[in-house]
Amino acid sequence: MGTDIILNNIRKRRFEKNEMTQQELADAAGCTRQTIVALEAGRYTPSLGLAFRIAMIFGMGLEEIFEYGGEA
Amino acid sequence: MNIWFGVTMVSALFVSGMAAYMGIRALQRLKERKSQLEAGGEIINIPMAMLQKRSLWNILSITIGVLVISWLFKGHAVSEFFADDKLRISITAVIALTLMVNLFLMLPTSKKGRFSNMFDERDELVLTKASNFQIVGLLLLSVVWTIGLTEYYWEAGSIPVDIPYLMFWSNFLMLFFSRSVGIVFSYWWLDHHGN
Repeated sequence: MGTDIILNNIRKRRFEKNEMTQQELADAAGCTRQTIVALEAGRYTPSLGLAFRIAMIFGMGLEEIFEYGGEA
Repeated sequence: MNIWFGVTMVSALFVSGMAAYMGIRALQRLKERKSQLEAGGEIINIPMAMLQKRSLWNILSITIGVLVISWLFKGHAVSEFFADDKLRISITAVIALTLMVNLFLMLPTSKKGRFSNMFDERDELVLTKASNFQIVGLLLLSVVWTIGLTEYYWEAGSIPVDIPYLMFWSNFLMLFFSRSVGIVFSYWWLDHHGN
């Protein structure tokens, strides 16, 4: 069984939300900017807690931000 | 051939074999993930985390500490360690200083406290992965000590009483050194291959 690939559109959602910076999103989500950069680059799969927090910041459901991309 | 020499050699071969296997498996995974990433396109540089920067400084400080200890030992026999007060105090001071620098640099390893906004779940994941490096580091160090001491003091049949004391401190330094190496490597791995 391979690694699950979780795709996201955080970058797009940030720009739609008044061009929110990575730092602003990180502060609101309670993580570091490095983690936001890694998430946007598809190099980190967040915990459910962080995923929900990010979705709540954008006022959306989890599935509107994250998408299952199969196994690597 | 002494039975312990045989046991030592078999242990060394086992550890080396395990290390080689793990290295080959890591390279295979690296190749697979690299081709996946190349297929995916965009490569973005992820800025260094605070823990990553501090680990690099820690590797540097421990390396300097070990070099200074080696320099202090130059021209002295190990058995002089307890006999020569100046040597013993100097080496103990360098070790204590190195460990204090480590303590200062590696303090921010919790989501609580004043570093909370610079530390998150990704850093916690890195710390978990880094602990594996500590086990391998200590295992390799014990192999080096065992083979070295067996070879060097084979004829004498016993080792000087100073050695276990130095082994204790070397374990301490290796514990923190391998942790920092593990942290740096784990960040690199996460940045290039994800979790």
